[in-house]
Amino acid sequence: MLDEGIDNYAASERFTPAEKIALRYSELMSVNPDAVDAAFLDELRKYYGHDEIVELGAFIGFNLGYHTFFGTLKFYPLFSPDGRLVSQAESKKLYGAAPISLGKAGAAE
Amino acid sequence: MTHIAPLPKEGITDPELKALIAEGEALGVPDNLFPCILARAPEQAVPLMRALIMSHGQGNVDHRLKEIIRILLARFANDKYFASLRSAKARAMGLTEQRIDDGCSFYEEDAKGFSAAEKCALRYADLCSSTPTN
Repeated sequence: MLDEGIDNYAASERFTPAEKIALRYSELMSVNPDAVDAAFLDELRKYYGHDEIVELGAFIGFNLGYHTFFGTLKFYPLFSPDGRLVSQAESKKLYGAAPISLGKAGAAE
Repeated sequence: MTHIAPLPKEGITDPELKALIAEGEALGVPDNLFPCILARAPEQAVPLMRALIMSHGQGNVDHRLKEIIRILLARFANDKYFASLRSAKARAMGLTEQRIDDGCSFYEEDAKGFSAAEKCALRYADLCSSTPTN
């Protein structure tokens, strides 16, 4: 479900329209914020109240900023996909240069 | 016309949020528009405003430098609202529009008069926005 949400949410049948537009909102905020226009907001309003749109927008904005910062600090997960406490050097090897699906990482082992 | 209408300021009753709005207004960043939009989700608005004011208005880094960085990033993000706001505290400390503009472009030029530390901080902000992981 998580991987499908990231890779294939628009075509997936496992997400509701409300979930799809929230995922679309986060994607647009990251790659094309100008597309979050009046028409898009009208679409969001079909599924979310103003309180929820503000909550979602703040959450997305925080995550965009924090992950930019955290990504520059080059720290890696404390635990391996199978739950072992690992060093940062080992973690870097396990998780690689870019985030990958934990499900796929587990399947590869 | 905002996409999400702000709540009327007079209608905000949460004392903590009211105090944070007043604090933002005194600083000038943000004025009451942004928090009154945030107030649509009041439980989110309080911690968000607190973090925003604390990270910008407090701490050990020169507030004038943080104000230049804030405006630089707002301009990068095409955020016309925050790019137009100015910190009264930074102004009182002597920050001018010329200095802000100097910091937002070609800040590495010696003629701009930024110290090595200031140039490094501006480059840090610049890179975090443009090519964060390279």
